[in-house]
Amino acid sequence: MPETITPELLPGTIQEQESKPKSTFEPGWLVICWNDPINLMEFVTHVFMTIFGWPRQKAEFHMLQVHEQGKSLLVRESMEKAEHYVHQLQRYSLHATMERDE
Amino acid sequence: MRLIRKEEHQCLFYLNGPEQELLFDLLRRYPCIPPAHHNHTRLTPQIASDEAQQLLEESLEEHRTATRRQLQAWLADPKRLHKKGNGYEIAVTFPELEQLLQVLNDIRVGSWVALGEPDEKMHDLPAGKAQNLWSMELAGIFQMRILEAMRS
Repeated sequence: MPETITPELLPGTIQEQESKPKSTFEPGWLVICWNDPINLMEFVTHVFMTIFGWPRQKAEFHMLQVHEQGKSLLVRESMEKAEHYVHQLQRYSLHATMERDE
Repeated sequence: MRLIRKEEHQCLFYLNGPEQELLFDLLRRYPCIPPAHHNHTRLTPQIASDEAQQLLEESLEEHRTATRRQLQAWLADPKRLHKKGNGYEIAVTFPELEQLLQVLNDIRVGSWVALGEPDEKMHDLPAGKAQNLWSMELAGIFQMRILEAMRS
């Protein structure tokens, strides 16, 4: 005989919906920069500093991550901002993409 | 190409005659990257909607067109170069330097694409591609000169 499951809701509590559709304005998109053998390391650092306003140390950290690990997750943003950053990075001819943060 | 001095809004460079010719010839090659080279997404292609890809391509094309127009005006400006000895002095504002970096990297990456996207050690130069190799290397040298000047 199957076990009966009783909902454990207390009076006065509000049950949140399990799956709420993500708005395109919610930070849920990852901007990723990929390694290639052509972009100069100093140039990539400069681009990160220019686009994201990062200090040199942070920009170099991400540049080295791209160089050594093949890619670096740069920011997690809303869809609009992520698209903006991808466009900015590609204007500098860096290999940048955006992915949904699952 | 060497930095003479860095001022509040610009850098003043000296280029000897051959350097000036090389730089301006190189810049006239812009744009070099094929439009289809850029991809919007990578790991999850189902997200790369046609609309998003089209938006990216349109945005880049608009940017390229505007940059090409500004670059042509920049190269044609007779007041830009000041004869000094065997070479020229040239003043470049910081926004112009930023744009030159984008242009030079487009030329560098586009030349690399034309060479077949070789890895760091290119053992065999494809026939008829010497010009691309030359452009790729030269663009990198000018990029480094500009970056050193901006960082100084």
